[in-house]
Amino acid sequence: MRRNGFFSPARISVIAGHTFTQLVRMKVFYFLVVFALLMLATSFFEMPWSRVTEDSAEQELIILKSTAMGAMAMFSALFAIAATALLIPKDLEDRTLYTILSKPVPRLDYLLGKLVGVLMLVAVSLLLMDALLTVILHFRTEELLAAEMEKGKGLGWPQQYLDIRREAISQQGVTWDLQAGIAAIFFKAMIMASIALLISTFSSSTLFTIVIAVVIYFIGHFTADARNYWLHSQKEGVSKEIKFLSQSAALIFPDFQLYNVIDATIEGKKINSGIISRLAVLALFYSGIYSVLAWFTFRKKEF
Amino acid sequence: MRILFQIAVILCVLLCFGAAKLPFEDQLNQDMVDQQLIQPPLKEGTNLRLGQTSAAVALGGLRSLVASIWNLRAFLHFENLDWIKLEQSYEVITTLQPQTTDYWDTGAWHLHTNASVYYKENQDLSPIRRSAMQVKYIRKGSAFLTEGVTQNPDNWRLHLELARLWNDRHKLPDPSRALGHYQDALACASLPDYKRSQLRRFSFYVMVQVQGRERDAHALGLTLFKQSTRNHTPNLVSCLFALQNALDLPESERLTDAELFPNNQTQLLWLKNFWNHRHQDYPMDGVRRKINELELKIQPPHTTPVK
Repeated sequence: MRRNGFFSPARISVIAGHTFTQLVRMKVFYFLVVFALLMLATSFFEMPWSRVTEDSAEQELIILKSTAMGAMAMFSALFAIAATALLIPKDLEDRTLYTILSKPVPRLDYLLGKLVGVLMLVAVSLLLMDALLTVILHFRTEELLAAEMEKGKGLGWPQQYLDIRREAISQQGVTWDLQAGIAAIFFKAMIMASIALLISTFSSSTLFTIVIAVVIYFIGHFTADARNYWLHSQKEGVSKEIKFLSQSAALIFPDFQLYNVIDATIEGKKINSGIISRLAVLALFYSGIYSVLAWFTFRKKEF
Repeated sequence: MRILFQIAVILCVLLCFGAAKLPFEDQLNQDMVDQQLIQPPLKEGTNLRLGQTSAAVALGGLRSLVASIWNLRAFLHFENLDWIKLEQSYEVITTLQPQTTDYWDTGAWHLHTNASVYYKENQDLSPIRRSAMQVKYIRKGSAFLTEGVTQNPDNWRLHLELARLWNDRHKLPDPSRALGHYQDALACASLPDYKRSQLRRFSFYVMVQVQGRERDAHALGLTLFKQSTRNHTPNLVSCLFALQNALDLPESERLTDAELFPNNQTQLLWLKNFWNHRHQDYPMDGVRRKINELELKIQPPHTTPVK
């Protein structure tokens, strides 16, 4: 008789695939229509009487990216929280959970499968939005570049100036740094999904899971301030309670401000691979810990 | 009871894990702040602290999107000529996205140009009120840009906008203040090389208008003139010509007319145009006299008698 392993990638991928299909059937991809309309509206929208400055072309691209990346961050966080919070209650309601757990499927595999399924959905959504953004941004950049070069030639700019302008505008177009920003959005969604999974293992309602996850999401943006206050603020006369609160927040909650590197990518700043790798390591670390804790509460749960 | 035990275990694990990740996260945060990829925590006591922290907590990672939406709302306030709401909107926008130059620039422009002109030309107000409101909004625009500079000290464009504002003769021209902002812009490490020469030229044009800085202005003008033929602009050359006269330099220290101007006809044309700007506090020493001399010496094309 074959021994049933504690952790099986094959089993996890089957559950993940099923979860992905289950979520797709919930018609979640309809949001893409909203995103496409938003992108088209932003790319064609031109404010009358707006300020024309030397780098208006770059600023126009920044605002286009800003809208798109903001929408991507919002959609991915919403998907990660809502989809994960829905999964276990839905499996209970459909009785799928009993069918799966009555088979020799370790509960860790079940949880990881569910999490990977949600992450696949987030990844596919982000890839689709990224593709749309890339196409629109590419054409808009080319259009603005052509207009700028024509203007420069008309004003008699030397080739050196034209090259500098070309480089400055291109840096605000489609770049690998922009893709790094989108990766950061995915990492943030990954951590949120793991947190929602952990909460859903002991919560009895979907609404509770969503609310708590959203609260943690907001607190996560305050963690950097709490850590800074604890580690670097030398101010005297701080009450013990405040110290305890800032220490607890810094230790327990993830620091989501680190993933706000997307703002820098919107500004066209260069992101080195070391930073993105460290963000990825941190996201994997968080997801791993939250998944193990989710398994800890779920392993002996009776249904 | 079991759930309480589980929560206690979870908290203990998270605390241990938190202690392990703390140095890693803190170092990563520091590196990202150093590379200007994320914003440093605001210093206590700044008037934006509360707003920024609240925004960070309330909006999480959606700052850029919310700022874009508020930017559209601000435009509606502009269309409705609601300057108070417009100012408030740009305060929110720049709190959300303090590193986006365009928001600082546009917000200040609405205040120091659109709002101030609106009040200046508002016939419903008394002349005193009109003037007071115009000045008030010019100062608001300047204060807005100054806040932008405080938050982005190495942003040469914001320094340049301040310099332009204080050098604008339709507002409250203050060449001395404008010169300070040009010098701040030139001190920015972010200033691209191709702009440096242009900004030095602009700072020269302002310096010549500052009382008591004529000698410094002459030294700067001379350096620029010798540096590149691209700096041989009609204004710079004419200013140098007038400064030499104003400082009454000995012949050995002067550039001759032949060195300054391409030819007599061009000299006449440039000096005439320069003379037309005499209300702008440029030095005009010897300009009128030279124009008269040149007019006698050469026959400008339009005065050539028809054969």
